[in-house]
Amino acid sequence: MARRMKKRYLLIFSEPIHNPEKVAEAIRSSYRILFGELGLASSGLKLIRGYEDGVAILRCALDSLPRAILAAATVTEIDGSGAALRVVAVSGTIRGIMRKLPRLRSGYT
Amino acid sequence: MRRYVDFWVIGEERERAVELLRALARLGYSDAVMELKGDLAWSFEELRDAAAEAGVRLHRKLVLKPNSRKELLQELRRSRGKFEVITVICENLEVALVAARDSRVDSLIIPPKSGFRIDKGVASTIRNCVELPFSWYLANRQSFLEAALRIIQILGRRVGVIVSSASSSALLLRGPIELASLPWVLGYPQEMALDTVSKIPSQIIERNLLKLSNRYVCRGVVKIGEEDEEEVPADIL
Repeated sequence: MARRMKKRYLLIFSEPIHNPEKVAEAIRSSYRILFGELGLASSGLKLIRGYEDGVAILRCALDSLPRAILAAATVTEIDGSGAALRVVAVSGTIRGIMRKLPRLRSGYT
Repeated sequence: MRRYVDFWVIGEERERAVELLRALARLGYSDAVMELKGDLAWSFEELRDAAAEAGVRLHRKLVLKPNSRKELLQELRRSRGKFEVITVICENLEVALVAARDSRVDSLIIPPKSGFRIDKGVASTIRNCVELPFSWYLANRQSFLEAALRIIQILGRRVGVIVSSASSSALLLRGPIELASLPWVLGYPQEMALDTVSKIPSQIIERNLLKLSNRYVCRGVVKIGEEDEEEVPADIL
C-alpha cells in the first residue's frame, strides 16, 4: 500500500504587504531557479490560504521543507519592488498554523 | 529554548541602525553583532541602549579585509580588546592561513572567488569558525553556493560554521530559520543547521565577553568567588 506523503505548512508574512498569490508565485519561481522543474514538481508547493495583510499559508512536502524555506528567503523582489518573505512558523497541520496565526500576527505588526 | 544570534549586521546611520535592531527583535533574535560604520562607531553605548529597549543584546564587530599577513597582524594588534567579535575576510591564502589559527580572530569569511582552493591541507589548519554571509548569497547565488558547498563539504564537520545576514537594510535581514535553511539545504542535519545561528555564535560571544571582563586571567583561567558573579560554563573557557 502506498504511504501517504507527509506535508508541512508554512506561515509566511510578506514585507511590505503583497498579494498572497504573488507571494506564492515568487516562491515557486525562486524554487524553480534553485532546484529546477523536477524539484518544484516533487515539492508539492502550493498556496493554501492567503490574507489581505500579506499573510500566506503554503504547503510543501516534508522532504522539501528546507528548500522551500530557502526559496522564500531568496526572494528579494515582488512585482519589481523590494520585498522580504518571513517564514514565521512551520507546522504539520493547518490547524496548528491557524492556532499560531493570531499571536504571531499581533507580535509581528 | 534556543537563543538566536545574527552574527553580522551593518550599522551605517543611527536611524537605520535602530530600525535594523527593531527588525532583528521582531524576527526573533536575542543577540546581534553589529559592524559600525562612519560616525556610529562613536555612539555605540547609545545604540546598545536602543537595542536593549528593543529586546536585543548588541555587540561590536570588526571586519578586516587585509591584503597580507603583516597587515592582518598589525590590525589585530591595534584592535585588541576593543571589539567583542573580529572577522577576517580572506582575499588570499596567506591571510587565510594566519587568520585561521589566530586566537584573536573569531570567524573567517572566504569570498566566493577568492583565488585559492580550500583542500584538506588548508582545512586541517583552520581552528576558527567560518562565516557565510547571507547577503552575499542574495547578491550572487551561483558562485556563493559553489563556495558554500565546498566549505560545508570540506570544513563542515571539522570547524564551526556560522550564517549571518551581513546586511545594512531591514529588508535584507532574514530570520534564524531562513538563515539556517542554507546549511540545511547544503547537507547539515536540522539541529546542526540551527546551531549555525544559535549555539556556535553564542559561544563565541560569551567567550569573548568573558575575555574582555576583568575576571579573565588567561586561556582556561578565570577569577571566581565573588557573590554576584555567574558561573562560567566549561565549554566557553
